[in-house]
Amino acid sequence: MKTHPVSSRRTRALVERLLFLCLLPFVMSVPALHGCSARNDGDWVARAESANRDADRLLATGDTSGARAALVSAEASIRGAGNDERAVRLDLLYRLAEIDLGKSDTKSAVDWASRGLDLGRSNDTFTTNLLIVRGHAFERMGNAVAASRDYHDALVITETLLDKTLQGKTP
Amino acid sequence: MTPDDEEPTAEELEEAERLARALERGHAPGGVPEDALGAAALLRFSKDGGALEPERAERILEEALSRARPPVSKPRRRYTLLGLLGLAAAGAAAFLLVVKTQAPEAAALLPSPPRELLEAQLAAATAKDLDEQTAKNTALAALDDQTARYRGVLYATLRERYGR
Repeated sequence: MKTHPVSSRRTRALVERLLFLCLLPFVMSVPALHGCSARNDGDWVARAESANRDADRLLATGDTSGARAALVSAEASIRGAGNDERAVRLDLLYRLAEIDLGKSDTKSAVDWASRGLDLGRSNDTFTTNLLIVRGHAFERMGNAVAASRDYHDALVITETLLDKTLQGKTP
Repeated sequence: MTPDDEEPTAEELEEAERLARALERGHAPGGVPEDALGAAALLRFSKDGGALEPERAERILEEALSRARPPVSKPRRRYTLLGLLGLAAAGAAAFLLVVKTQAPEAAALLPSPPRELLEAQLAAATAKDLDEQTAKNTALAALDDQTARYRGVLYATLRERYGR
């Protein structure tokens, strides 16, 4: 079917105007978005720190369930995928794995640690902690191979960090 | 029967058609004999003075319009595309600005772990060589203690970074 040249021109013009109208609000709203994101930036930090304080207090009274709940809630509330968010999430997951390991719930400890490691490994102390706590959980489960693998990976990272520390470099 | 009464040949019909078209439009595909065109034009001009009948004028206009190509508005489209590209570039730059200011983090910006924490990690990672579970738990407790200290430094850094 042959398209009428006039209707084709009108369609093209309409598409161009629609594109323009779609882009315009985006550009106009960037400053507003920036303002909103700047305001919300620190919320997750405050929530995570508060959850850690609550967990410390509750663990001191023997309330592991309460501590666990506080840490789970804080971890779930972090949305960003930046390095800072990742570090805090890995630390929260390490604490959760450690609490469950302390309760001899080794499977749950492995799950928490694996969840953290699935967020992305790096040559940092947070990844190492998760590997160590998961290695201990695997060891208690009788999985010596998996435990050795995690211990080995943890040692490789720690040695790298120690080298940098001794050389005065920031990792 | 005179030669004028004979049926015209196909060639003559075609030539007549081209002549009629040439008279009407001033040209014809395939061309026409110049002398015949001149004679026919003279006859037609002597008849109506070269005036164009309204019906014929309308027909010519319709045909011309149906064959005419729409004007290509290249400059206008170019300006529109340039405008869209400019907007897209501005949007991308603004987005990058937001992302950059929102995420000033880099692995290097996190506080460096203290040597005590690294040593506790080494001890905990080699605790499988220890026979007693108590010794392993002690290594884990030491790691937990050093991590808690480091956590304080970490959050102090993040509070400062995010203005909390």
